[in-house]
Amino acid sequence: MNESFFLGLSSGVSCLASCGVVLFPYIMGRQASSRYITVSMGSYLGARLMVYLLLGLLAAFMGKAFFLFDVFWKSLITGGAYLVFSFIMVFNLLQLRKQQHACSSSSSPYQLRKKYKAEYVPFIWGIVSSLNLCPPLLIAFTQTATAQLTPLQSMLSFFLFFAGTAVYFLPLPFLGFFKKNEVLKIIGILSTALVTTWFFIKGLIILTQLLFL
Amino acid sequence: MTQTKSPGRPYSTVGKFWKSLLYALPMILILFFFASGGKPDLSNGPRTIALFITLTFFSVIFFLMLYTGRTDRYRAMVFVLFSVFMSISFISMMFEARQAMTFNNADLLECKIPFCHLVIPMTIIPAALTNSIIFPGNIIGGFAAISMMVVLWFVATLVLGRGFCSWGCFYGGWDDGFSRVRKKPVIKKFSPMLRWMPFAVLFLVILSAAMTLVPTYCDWICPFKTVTEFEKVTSFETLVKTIVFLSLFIGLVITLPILTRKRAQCGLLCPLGAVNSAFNKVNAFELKIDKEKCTECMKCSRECPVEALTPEDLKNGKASFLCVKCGKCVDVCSKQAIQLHIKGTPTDKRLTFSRNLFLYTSFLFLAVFSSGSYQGGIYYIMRWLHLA
Repeated sequence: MNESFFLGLSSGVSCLASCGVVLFPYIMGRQASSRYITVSMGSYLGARLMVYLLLGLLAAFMGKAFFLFDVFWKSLITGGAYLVFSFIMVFNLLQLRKQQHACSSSSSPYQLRKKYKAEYVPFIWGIVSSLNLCPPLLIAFTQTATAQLTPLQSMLSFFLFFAGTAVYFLPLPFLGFFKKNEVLKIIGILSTALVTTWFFIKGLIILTQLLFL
Repeated sequence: MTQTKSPGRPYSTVGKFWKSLLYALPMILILFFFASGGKPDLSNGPRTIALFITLTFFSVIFFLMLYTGRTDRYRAMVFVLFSVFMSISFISMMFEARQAMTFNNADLLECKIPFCHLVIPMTIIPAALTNSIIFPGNIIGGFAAISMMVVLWFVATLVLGRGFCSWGCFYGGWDDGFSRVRKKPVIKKFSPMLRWMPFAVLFLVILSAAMTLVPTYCDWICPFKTVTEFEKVTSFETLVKTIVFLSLFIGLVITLPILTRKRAQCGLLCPLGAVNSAFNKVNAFELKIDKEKCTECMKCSRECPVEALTPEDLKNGKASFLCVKCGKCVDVCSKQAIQLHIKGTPTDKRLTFSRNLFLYTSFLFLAVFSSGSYQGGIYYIMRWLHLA
């Protein structure tokens, strides 16, 4: 359970770097009151929580199926998953390089705002950004699924993952006071590159160890 | 005959000699007491010789710093030798204790691995969150105990800021030394983005250590395991780890510093450097640039070992918070536009006082912290040469 929280914390930096730079200008750009900002952030985070709890439920049911496999297949799936995560990370990095935002593969709050009422935008944006299968989310899913948890425990695990990522979003409205927002984004990109390399090597080690089983 | 090289009023060479000697005397006395414990053991010949060589070397170097007005040239001599002697004495002790540079799981569980300051960032946060120390060292006790190292690092960093990386780190001398091998760099430009890499590494190691409760930096990354100790290769995983740290040592500590004349490991990887940078904001010393004297020739920027002087920093009139306070930029500036300065004091007055105060603080820390390694290194070399 602890791991889920720390996994959320560890991925929160890249979330902040990629999603925060989109969400923050949207909220602050409207020159809204503190109450409006709190409501917007609340609905954004609420949408994320809802999606994560559903994913927790799904992971619990998938976990039982996963444990029908033997060690070889489990290692193959885990190692393969790590490699897939690292490839997705590389894709994210390329996206970031093109100045597109990793959490919004198809739509930004500005585009959504045209389609829906402005008040619902943070909520919809929360769902869209949560459903983006970013690598830390997939890791959390794999970990929860392989831990053979009950549906309630699995949802709690995802709640902790959410709490870990949410920590970084809470001070978001105050980020405007810092001039070097660009630096945070760069650190996020570099962190993502390092995490990618780490998971790639871990995946490779697990798969190579299969040869000795 | 007058000298105007060092900051402050010009005075005669003879007067300067005596003045520098007078300034150096308290330092020599303090060092004698610290290095010998106030009561040198003269019964052990080789140890006495090692102590004498160490004290003489430190005294001469400090005097030359004051007399010539140059900082980095002499600092680097002490700093590079610190790293070399530390590795010599450490490896020799490992061979005495274990007959090898490698350790195994039993050594880890029995807390036989000394604690090192580089892992402080990934120790403090898990300790605060989970009440568990993730590095298997002793909490209290010997010199390399966790609490001792944390206190030493904290006090030194509070006083020197990221100057710790140039005056206190016993690994920094390796890439500092290799960065001085060539006179001109082969690779002249780094991506400015890479300046922030240590912060990314810091995030990675803190959070991954907190997530896995394993000291991931030591386990996977630390290149200095090459010159201290490392895990025995017993599986494919340990083989990969060995390849990773060896590659980082060859790449970031040897090759890149030679090719770029930059401290690549410190500037691109070290997570403790990132933490120390934050302390640059709160400590008293800084590198100030006199915008009237500065001609923007960018020589300081090219020579800076950690990319802490960008054109923007020159315009702002001070080095960025990444500055390691090595003094190289001060030495190379022909216009004497860069000076070590105490925050909150006037920039055009008492420059010699500011520099001397910084030197007293930083050199004292370097000399006291390194004297054990110096004496140990010299002693073991004498033993290799059958002189002891």
